[in-house]
Amino acid sequence: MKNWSLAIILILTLSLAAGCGKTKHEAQAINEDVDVCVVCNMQVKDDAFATQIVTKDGKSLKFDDLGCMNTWKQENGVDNIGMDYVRDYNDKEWIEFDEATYVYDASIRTPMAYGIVSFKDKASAEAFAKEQGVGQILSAAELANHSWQQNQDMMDHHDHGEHGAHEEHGAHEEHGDTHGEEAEHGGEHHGDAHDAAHDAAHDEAQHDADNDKGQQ
Amino acid sequence: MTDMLQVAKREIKIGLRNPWAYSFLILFSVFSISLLLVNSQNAVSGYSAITGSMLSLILYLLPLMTLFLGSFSLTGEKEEGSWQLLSTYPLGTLSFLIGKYVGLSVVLLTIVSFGYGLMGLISVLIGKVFDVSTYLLFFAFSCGLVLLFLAIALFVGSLSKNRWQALTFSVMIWFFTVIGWTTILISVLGLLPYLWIKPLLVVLTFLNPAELVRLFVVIKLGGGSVLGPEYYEWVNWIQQPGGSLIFFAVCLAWIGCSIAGVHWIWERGRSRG
Amino acid sequence: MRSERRVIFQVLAWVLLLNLALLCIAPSVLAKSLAKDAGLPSPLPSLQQLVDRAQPGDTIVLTEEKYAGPVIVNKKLKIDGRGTAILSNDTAEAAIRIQAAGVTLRGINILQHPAGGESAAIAVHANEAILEDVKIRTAGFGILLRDADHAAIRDNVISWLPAEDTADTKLGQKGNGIDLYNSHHYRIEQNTIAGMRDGIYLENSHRGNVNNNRLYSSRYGIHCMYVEKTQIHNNQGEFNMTGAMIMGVRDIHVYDNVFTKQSSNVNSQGILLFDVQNSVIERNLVEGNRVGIYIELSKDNQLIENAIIRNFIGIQFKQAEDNKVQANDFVANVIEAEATNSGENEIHGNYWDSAQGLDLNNDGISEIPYAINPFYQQLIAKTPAFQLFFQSPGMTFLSDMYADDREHWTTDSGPRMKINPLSAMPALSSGDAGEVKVLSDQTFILIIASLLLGTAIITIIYSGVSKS
Repeated sequence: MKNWSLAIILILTLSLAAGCGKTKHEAQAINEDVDVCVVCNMQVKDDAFATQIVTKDGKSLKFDDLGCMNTWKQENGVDNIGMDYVRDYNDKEWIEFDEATYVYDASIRTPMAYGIVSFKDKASAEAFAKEQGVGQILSAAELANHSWQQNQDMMDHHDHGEHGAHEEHGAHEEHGDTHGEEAEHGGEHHGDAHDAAHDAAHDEAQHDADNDKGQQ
Repeated sequence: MTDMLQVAKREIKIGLRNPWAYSFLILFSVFSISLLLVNSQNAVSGYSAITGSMLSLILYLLPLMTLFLGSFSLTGEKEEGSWQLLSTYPLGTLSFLIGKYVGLSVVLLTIVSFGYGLMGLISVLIGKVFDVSTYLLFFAFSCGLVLLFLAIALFVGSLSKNRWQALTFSVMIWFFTVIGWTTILISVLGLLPYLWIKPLLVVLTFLNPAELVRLFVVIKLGGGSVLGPEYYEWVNWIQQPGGSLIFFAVCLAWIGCSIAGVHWIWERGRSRG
Repeated sequence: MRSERRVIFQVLAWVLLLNLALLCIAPSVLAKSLAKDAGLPSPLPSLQQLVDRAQPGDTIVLTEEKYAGPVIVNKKLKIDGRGTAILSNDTAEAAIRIQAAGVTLRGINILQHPAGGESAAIAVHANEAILEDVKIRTAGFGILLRDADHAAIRDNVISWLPAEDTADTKLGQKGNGIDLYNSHHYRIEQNTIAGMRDGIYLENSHRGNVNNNRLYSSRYGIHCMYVEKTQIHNNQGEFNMTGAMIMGVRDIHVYDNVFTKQSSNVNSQGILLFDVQNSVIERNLVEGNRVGIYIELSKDNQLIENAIIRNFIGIQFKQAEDNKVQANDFVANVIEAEATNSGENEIHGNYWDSAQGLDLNNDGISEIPYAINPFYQQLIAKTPAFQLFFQSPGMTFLSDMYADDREHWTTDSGPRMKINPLSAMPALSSGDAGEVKVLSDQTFILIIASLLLGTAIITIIYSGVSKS
């Protein structure tokens, strides 16, 4: 009998401990030994590209790239999200997704090649874009209309452009966005975001799509 | 101390003249050997299908055997009136119980040793590749399982009035800890908030010797990574050389607490009786 | 255990070789640091001067014992270190940066000290580079190719150079062994890479050939991101977090590779396929991994004649459809297969040693289909904490009772009755290899078993049978 009462006491203590102070959905630290991206299975490195969703029941989902987090949101909806976090490019501090400023350019290399980095304020984002010479500044709201195109293509128009001609250029286009295919499972055709962006009256979106076109 | 040894000696003698012990001995030997023969083309080492199924077999058989033999021994004392006789002597309840425990563990470990000895000899005879460390690990695993379940068996024996009650309790506990455990925990924990599940699961695992010992062996066989990221630290902890010591300490604590509990029950009975 | 030992010996042998190759470096480094202490200018001859003096098309033979980096090669040259020359580099630049087409490096030992950033031993920014017999120890990347086509990288050895004051660098913090970006028509052959982040990392690099490499103790042995029309074959990977991480690829051919013992990490796999399309994965051997083959969001692939042996989980499907999975052998895996949302695959004629087949018409194919129970995978996807129940007796019991929506389970329509004789080989060979060891193991077991049995019998006779 003794260890049953012990067990009950333990359970109660633990429940109390777990129950307290869990109203806020805080970001968890990245552990490179165990954390892999929920979407693409790649190891989540403890770097500025890592993102995180803490669900309403306190489960922490980590992603290696902002694009993977976006894919998850497309597939699972946003209703169960307690808080979503991105990291500041410079000091790797967790910041809330809605409060960050983003810089996109196809030439920015990120783990899954979505080409978006995040900053805690607009000034540092602008400084980064200035330093890179390219990059489009976006707010979280503007990201909603982003094409989420992965850069799976040569980058002749950017800083890597010193090489000779390649024959496989045209071939890539027919594959399009890989997540376009995935979207058919998930139910949302974000793979066609290019067209959607054209339809949108939003200026930024228009600009975004044009910009993408220019790069291809 | 001498009292305790006397009780233990008597227990060994009674235990090894008990036909139940031999039927279990035969059952265990036959099962372990047939398992060896079924998977004959594969080496027995590391965590693979054969070690996995051996693990399950042992988990089915040994706890049941231990619960029966252990609890029957205690109810026997009550039914045959030898405890009533013994309690008139200046024999401490604790000496009696520890003597019982030691005696019964010798009986059970003899059965286990017999089974493993036979299995080892046959594996060598048929030229099967059996990794020494895996063999020893399995032997240690079985012994641990027996010792932990024996502590539960003493509980069962103390709480039951007769053999039939002990049988019922034993089967219930066996089913609950070995087979029903997963189902019950999944359904109950599923109702709780997500963040409670893991800590509760860890605590409850420590209370179930079958799970505790099984997980220890899986991790020691190198299969710790299959338990996933949630238990990464635990696995690392047990994998290091000191892990076995810690596990040993946990088992001792377990047995100690159980015997203390059983002691309390018997003392109560003695003062009332 | 035995094959594990053999592997450890192999790894040790390689490490030893590596150390031997670089043995002469230790005194040189010592000498250099002594020189530094004495306040003398570095006595090492500069390779850059030799390069500057040479005419395009020349061959530079390195006769000195050691040279100082960094070097920029901006004309077509052949630099031959004859296996003995050492190039040591302390700057953040690459020890050798190739900027002209057709450069050949051969037989050079490179020590790349600085860590961080994209510091690399060799950085290739031009086409038609040939790198042969180069031995690299690096605290950053090994070989970096950027916009460099038609490269040939063979017989090189790349390993991690730990910084003196730090203990263990996490794999994720290290550099890649060979790292390609936007570089096509490559041949990467017979390299040995150990202890790096990714052994071979390919991104946006197409139409190459990666073969006969040996990849140890790295994060991912081979890591493909957005690669097309590439052949990956006859490579060997051991003790990596994941053997081959194949992501976002089209039209590639992965065959005759061996990935074993990827089991230490909670996310280890032999081969992982994510977003792979129209590719062929055949005749690979995955043995002793946490997960043999993991396939997610992939379609129109063929998985044929692979041997999946002694893994904790043989194969895992997740949202993978329209793939052809045929004639594979699943042997002695703790769990043969798990699958969720992967009903529409063409799975036929695989050998599952845990399946109870029944062949009524003697065609070697069982008439009882083999369905893969999704229960456990669904359960842990929702609550990872329940992985603690992996293959517990209660879990097998519970899974067997679960039969929801059975017609949509991933199912082998006709499992093969007999194992493919080819894949039975490796399982046996692992036992045969350590012949001497097996014997001593068996003797050992014989002794222990006899002791146990003897003690048991004596106890029984003494206390049970004898009337005393």
